[in-house]
Amino acid sequence: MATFQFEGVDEYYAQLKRLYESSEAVCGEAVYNGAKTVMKYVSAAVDGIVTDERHGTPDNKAIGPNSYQKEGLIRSLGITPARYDGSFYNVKIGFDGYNKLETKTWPQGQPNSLVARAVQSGTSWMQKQPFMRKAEQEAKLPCEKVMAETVDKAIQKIMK
Amino acid sequence: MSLTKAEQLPDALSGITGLKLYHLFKPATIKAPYAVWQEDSEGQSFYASNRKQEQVLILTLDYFTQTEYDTVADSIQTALDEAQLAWKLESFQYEAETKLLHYEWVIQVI
Repeated sequence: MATFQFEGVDEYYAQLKRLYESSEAVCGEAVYNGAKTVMKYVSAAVDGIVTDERHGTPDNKAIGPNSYQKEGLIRSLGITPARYDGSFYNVKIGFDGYNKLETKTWPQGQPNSLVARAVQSGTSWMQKQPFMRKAEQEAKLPCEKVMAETVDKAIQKIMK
Repeated sequence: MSLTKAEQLPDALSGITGLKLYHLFKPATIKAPYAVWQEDSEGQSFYASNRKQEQVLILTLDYFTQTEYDTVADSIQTALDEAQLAWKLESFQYEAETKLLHYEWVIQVI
C-alpha cells in the first residue's frame, strides 16, 4: 500500500500553538506601541495650543486658555497601561489632576480634563482649538504602521 | 475643488425658524440662543491617479442656549439628516458661569 509522509507538521503545529498562546501579549504590545505613537502627536498638539491671558467674554472671546491652564495640560498629559476587557485592548490618553489656577469654583485648582474639553470644543467666551482632533488625524497612519510592525516582528520571532 | 462647498451647512440649516446662525463670530449685540459654524480642517479626502480627486471638509457647529432640552437642537440634527450631511454630536457642555448649554457638532461635507 502506498504511504504518504508529511514531515514538519508537528513543528508547524507547535509554532501555531505558540502563536495562539502569545496572541494576547502581542496584541497588547501592539496597541500600547500604537498609543505611544499617538501620544507623541497629542503632546505636540498640546505644545501648539495658543494661549491668551485675557479673560474672555461672549462678545470678546479669548483666543485660548491662559498659560497656567496650558501648563496644567502639558504636565498632566498621560497614558494608561493596556487593559484587556475580554474583547478589546484599551489604552487611554488623557489629562488628570488639577492645575495651579485656584478660582472661586475650583479652590484646589481647575480640573485639567475640564480645561482640555473647553480648549477642544471652545466655549461662549473662548475660541475652540481642536488640538485632539488634529493629533488624531495626523497620528492615524503612523499609529497603524507601528502596530503592524509590532505584530509582524512578534510573529517572525514566534514562528522562527 | 472649491472651499465654498462648506456653505452646504448654512444652506441645510436655513429652514430652521428663528435660528440665529453666524459664520466664525456672532455680532456683539446678539444674545443666546445662537449658533456659530466654522471650517475646521480637511477630512479623509479621496485620492486617485496621483492626485486629490475629492476634498472632504470638516466643519463645526456650536449652538448656545439657556433652554434645557431646546427643540432647536433637534431641528438642527433633523436638518443635517435631510441634507444628507455626515455629522455627529461631538460634545455637550454646561457653562456654569454663563448658564449656557453648549451643543457642538462636527460635520463633513463632500
